[in-house]
Amino acid sequence: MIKFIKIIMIVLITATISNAEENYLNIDAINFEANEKDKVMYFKGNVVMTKNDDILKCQSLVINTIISKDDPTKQIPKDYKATGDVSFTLNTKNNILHGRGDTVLYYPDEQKYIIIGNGYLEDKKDGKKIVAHKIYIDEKTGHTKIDGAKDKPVKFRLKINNEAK
Amino acid sequence: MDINKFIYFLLAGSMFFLFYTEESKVKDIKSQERPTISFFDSIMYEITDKRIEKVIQSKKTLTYKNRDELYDATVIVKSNKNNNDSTNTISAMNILRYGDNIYLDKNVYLQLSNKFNIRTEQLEYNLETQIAKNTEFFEAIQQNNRLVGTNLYLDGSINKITAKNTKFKIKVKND
Repeated sequence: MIKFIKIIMIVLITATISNAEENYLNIDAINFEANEKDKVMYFKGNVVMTKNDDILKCQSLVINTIISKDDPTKQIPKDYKATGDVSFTLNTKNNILHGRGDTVLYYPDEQKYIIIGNGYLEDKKDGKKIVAHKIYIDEKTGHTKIDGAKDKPVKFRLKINNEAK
Repeated sequence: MDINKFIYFLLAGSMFFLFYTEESKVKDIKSQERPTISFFDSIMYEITDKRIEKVIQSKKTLTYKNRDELYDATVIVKSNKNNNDSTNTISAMNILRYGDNIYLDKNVYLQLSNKFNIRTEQLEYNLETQIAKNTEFFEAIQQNNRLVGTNLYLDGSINKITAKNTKFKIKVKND
């Protein structure tokens, strides 16, 4: 019986480790095009990209790829450009971010996001809301930089706790 | 008198159409092609002075004047375009080959030298241009990436691929 429990424990631990190591990006779209020569992938029409609990929706997604340093036969994503009704939910270490914008750029190596045009970012934990022309998010440092456009000043809204008054 | 003429005319007309149809059927049967060569459980090699270019393994192969019909078959195509060795493998339950054009049906499997593996139920493939296309559901696997969808268009010579209603799964680095 103890042997059986040990086997079950080993199987469970192995399964957990292997699941933790594997990380897949899923992208659904109406149209897909990839060209190995240009190292570009195009997804068009009702694009939904998911990774674990993160989700991004848009009308067009372009992924530039590079040759993997670990395996020269593989191509891995270098940067992402989402356009057209872009919205996303991003789970960071300590927070959940909801965002919207005309264009969203993502650089996976640097873990940086840039929202360009009609940018909106909502911090679920603290209830902060940002409306700006350009929003820079650094997932590594947790730093957020905000730029307003000429006729579109930055709007920042904080959730105020009534009990503190 | 006129009625008699009319009846004769009807009879003659119906007899003509009856025999004309029968003769057409006979002609159709006569014109049905018979294979010039039939192979069963065979392996064929197409050899040039430099290399083996094709290996064709099948349960049944019927060779006609302008086409080959292969059943439960696998075709291995080796080429040396621009001094690049490549080996492409094609297999299906039914294969119809007109020159370089191949029409594949049921349990279709295409393995290209660029590590593209495609599974589907229907596919057209050109041996010369290396263009594969279909209108049905397909699954393409390259390394750790998996693409499923419909309306595949794959140009194996330049590794360009387009498809509709796609679901793409790609392995990425852990954050």
